[in-house]
Amino acid sequence: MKGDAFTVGSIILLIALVGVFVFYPIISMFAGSFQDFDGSFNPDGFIRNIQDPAIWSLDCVIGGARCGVAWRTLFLAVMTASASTLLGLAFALVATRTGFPAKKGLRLLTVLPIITPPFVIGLALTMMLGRSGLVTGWIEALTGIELGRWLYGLTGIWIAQVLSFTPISFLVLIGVVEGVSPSMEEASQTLRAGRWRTFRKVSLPLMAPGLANAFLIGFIESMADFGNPLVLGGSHGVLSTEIFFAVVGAQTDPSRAAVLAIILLTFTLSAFMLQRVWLAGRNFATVTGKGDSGKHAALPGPLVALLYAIVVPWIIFTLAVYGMIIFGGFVTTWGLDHTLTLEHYARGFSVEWREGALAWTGVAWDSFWTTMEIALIAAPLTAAVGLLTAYLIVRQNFFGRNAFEFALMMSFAIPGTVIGISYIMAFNLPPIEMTGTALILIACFVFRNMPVGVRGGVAAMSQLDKSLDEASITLGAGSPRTIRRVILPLLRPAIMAALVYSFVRAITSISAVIFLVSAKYNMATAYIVGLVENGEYGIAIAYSSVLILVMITVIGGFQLLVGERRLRRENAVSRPAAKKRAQSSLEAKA
Amino acid sequence: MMTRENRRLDLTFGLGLAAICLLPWYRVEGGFFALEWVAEMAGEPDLYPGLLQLFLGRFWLLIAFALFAAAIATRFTMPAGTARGARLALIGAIGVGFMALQGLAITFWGWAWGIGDALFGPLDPGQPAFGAGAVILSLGFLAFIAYGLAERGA
Repeated sequence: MKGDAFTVGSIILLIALVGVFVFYPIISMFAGSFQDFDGSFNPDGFIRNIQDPAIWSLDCVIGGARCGVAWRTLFLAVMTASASTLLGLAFALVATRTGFPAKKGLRLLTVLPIITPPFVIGLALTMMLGRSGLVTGWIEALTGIELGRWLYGLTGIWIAQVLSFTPISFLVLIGVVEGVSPSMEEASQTLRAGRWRTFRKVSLPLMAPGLANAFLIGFIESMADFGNPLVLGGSHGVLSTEIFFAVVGAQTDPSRAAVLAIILLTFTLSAFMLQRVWLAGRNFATVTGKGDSGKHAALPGPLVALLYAIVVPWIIFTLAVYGMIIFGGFVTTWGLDHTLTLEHYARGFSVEWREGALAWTGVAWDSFWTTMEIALIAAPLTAAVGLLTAYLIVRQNFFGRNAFEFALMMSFAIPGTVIGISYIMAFNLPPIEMTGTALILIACFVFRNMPVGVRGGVAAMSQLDKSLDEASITLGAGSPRTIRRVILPLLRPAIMAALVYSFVRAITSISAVIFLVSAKYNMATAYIVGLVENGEYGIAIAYSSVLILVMITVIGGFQLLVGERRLRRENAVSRPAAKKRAQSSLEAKA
Repeated sequence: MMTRENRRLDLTFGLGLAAICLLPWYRVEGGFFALEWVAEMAGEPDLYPGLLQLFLGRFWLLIAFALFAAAIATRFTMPAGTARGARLALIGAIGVGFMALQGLAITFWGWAWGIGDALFGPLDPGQPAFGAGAVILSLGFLAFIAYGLAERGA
């Protein structure tokens, strides 16, 4: 498309935006670590912090008390990623290869982490297993052993993270497990390999890329997780919470925060690169054109028993944790007084009729409406920027396209805490000053959630035949018109998905947001964390359950809308052939 | 002759002139969208548009305005085509680069980096953060790059 101002303009605008809102903050953070308070060059802070034994010490290997925070975080991330990948695999196998009775219910599980604010799991765990937790009480009453504070520290964070991220790895792995071609397994069995050998030598190796992907996501999510360590960490912080306390704590040390953020970023980006290198040049093609029976080989009996033994207790555990979230909002004081009450909801969300007007008297309304407002502004922007980028990547060929795509995907591996700290370092001073405004929150959400919109858009757009837009352009429409009249209508499901995802993420995210909120623009999650720090667990849990309810409503509404679209198409009688074909391929995906 | 190339350029010129002459150049404390600056603009030097900021000692902005004027001159002196496109894209790129550089180099208290003091001597006054005028003019320079490249046939 030579000489198309819209395309060139979009590319340049996107590059400028990504430069200002992704790269400029990161570079400022690097620069900030080498600066004094007055901005002059001074590497002392960097050198002092990068050598700090509190970060790098390996004492625990040689029998000392504890290792440095960097190693602890790395260890935690590896443990979380391994456990959630294995559990996710167990769930995926149960959901696809066994006669488990409640498979539909299992799939519902995948929605949970999307709608749960990240620290809520940690909160519910404290209520079950903490010092005055419900289960702790039972065990102590039964055995008489004082359990104490075992939950607070890496163990507790690990349990909370595995609970939070297992559904994500389940979501990643279920497609991979389903995708393994039955014909390979059949071939193996025809050659007289047993079920066990078939599983071990054929099925499992074919799932390797999925396992690597699930591991990477678990690793990055664990590194980036801020809410659970904050609630459960106690004195055993991880990198993301240490960064936070280096900024807001008693000894404010921006250079230390920047150094810690750089270490965290190095870990996640290395994992990201390693995975790309490892997957490049390998072939795991399992979906072929050849016909097969469509029936997967049955799993060996003992393995099924093992899977059930893992999955069923874990489901019960997860349900108990979520039950705790609902239940916790209705009791007076957790662990002391379990009489049922609506007091927490009343304090948070009371409404009064005053002088002929509705007065929002509850303490939570202020942050609730701000959150809704900002999420509603950010969601369409995220979807627009994400889909425009996807369009440029899939449909246009321009210089540096691969680098552009890679830079965008890389921003996926930047932990929220790093984004938060880099945003305050970059946007607190001229030339661009945005701290304390709603704008910085919106920018943060748009550029943090954009990669997901891009991925969704790329996937959906690759399914649309290129001849559609070529036909439109041949007939004289410019590219803005082609996008509006041809591509956008066919992308409706992808648009809706991007909208809902960015809306929900704007409500639930905490790690970056906690640095960026101000008295005027407080967000729900930051407010809840404040409540937790003050020990007001009842109202914090009540607020969280309201948020979960709101998001279930939003996702339900979204599914209704998508359903409507499908209905209308079935009623249609005649349509141009090309459009029909593209839509049916879309339908096949949906 | 009024072609599509010229029309979109003229539109950008209009927006850029408004950004230079009418909108507050620097950041408005109470928030731009509160629109309180409309009433207070006349009495408050901090809210002056870019053109008046020149007379408050912020002479370096003249370079940005000169680049903008060069773009206008290019539009009216050269025929639409490859050569004009290349010239416009170049002006746009220099403009964006200069806006970013002056923004980073000159802060509230003068030069941000010691090298500025060493080369040009101390600077007074400095400047606050970008406001509506500065942001829109920067976007205008980006538009020059895009339209220039499009005219060149990128």
